[in-house]
Amino acid sequence: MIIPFLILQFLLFSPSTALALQGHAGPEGLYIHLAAHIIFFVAMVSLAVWMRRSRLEPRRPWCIMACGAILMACWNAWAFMGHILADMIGEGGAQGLDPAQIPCLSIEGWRCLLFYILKLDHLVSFPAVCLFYVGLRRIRLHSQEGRP
Amino acid sequence: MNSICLSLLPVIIIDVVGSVATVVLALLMVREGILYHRTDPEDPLRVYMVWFSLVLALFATSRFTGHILRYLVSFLGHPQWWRKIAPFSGTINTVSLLAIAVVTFFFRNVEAMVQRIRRDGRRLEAMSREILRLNETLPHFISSRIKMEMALRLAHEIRNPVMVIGNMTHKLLRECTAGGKIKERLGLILREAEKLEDLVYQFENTMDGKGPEFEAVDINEIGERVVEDHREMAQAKGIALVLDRWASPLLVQGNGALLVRAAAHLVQNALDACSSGNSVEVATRLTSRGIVLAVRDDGPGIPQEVIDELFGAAPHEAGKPHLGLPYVRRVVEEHLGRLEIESRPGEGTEARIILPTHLGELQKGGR
Repeated sequence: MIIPFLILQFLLFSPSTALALQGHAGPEGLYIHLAAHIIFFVAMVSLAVWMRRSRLEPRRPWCIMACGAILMACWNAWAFMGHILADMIGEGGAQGLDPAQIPCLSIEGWRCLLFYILKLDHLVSFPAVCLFYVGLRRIRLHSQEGRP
Repeated sequence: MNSICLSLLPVIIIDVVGSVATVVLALLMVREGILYHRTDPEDPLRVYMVWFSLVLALFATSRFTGHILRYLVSFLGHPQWWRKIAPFSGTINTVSLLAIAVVTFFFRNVEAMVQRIRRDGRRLEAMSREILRLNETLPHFISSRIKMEMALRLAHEIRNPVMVIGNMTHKLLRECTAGGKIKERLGLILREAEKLEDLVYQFENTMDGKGPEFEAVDINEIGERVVEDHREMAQAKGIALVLDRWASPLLVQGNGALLVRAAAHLVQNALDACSSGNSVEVATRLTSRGIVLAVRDDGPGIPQEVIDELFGAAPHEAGKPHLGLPYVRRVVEEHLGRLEIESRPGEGTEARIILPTHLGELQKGGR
């Protein structure tokens, strides 16, 4: 009986700083965004696998959507690398967007060149959304076949 | 090291055009999702596709906002505004990525749900067709059975007085001392009584097991047929389906097609309840209670309180409808038999169809 009392007394009479709120530093935003990309990547790969394996009919539109999911997973990897490189080369890598002059990127090594290429990520994300659209449209049209 | 300066104009053009085109396409996808949903609003797959298109539109919009706003404020000469907008735009973008991922992870569940609904739908359709067929067959069967019962009862009622007349006439003939016409007339009565008795006997033989709905059915053959019909399904599920056949024919008067369907329901239910490694045995035997077709399994069994509910239309604990069981009982009862279900949770279930050996017993047993 005495031991719990002593533990309680020790806890009550030896206070320290209570850290009720966790602080959030600036870089956390980038890490959360990168984590979201990883989750999105896993989700898209899973979706592609499930759509390929599913027995949903008709097969072709679902395969098209699975291809869209694969492309979207590729876009995630692409964007992920883009964010990493942007963080590595810093803001100074890209020149400011002055309306008076055409902005440019100073290429100082392969990282900057790769970053330049990775900035063209719409070349991957747009076809992915296209495939999703075409797949869904075909599924919808198939479902309406034979309906009055 | 010398550096070269690459124009960001292609990047900006692709960014702007890509962002706008992606948003337009995503909105068109939402439209497709809604149109698809309207074709069957209660279908979970259609509901899912609306959600999927909506989160994709959120993702496209957040990207559009992030990319276009950044260029817009720069070209308007207020790049510092972007520093204030960027955290919000980035947060929305991150949330959109997570939202699309969360929705995506549900695809597998939705697909499983859709497959289950479709499978159960097909099963219910098959059941409905079968119930319809039973409803068409049963009235003819019942009518035939009632006619046959009445005819046999009539024959029975005629045979008794005829036998009494015959016996009495025979006795009178032996005791009669007078000759001539009386003896001759008694002989005539006796011959006619014998003829009538013979006629009743022939009539009984003709009625017993003859007719469009009634026939002599071998329960062994029914057992063989249901085992053969379900063998493939049992193999696919990894369940051993065996037949324990009685050595000699087990003939009952009844409708073969109806009895096959009743037995098939019991085997189907046993296979549904069992899983890989279990066994289902169809046994036929002759007992003092009648001819028995038993379907025995070593599956999970059914609690006693659920057995009573099985004969109602309510689904049992696994959620599978047992619409067939009331009909099995109906078919068995129309053959003036009994359906018994005995189960011990964890040990298995035995369903027994007990049928009278011949129609004569039907009258004794009553309904």
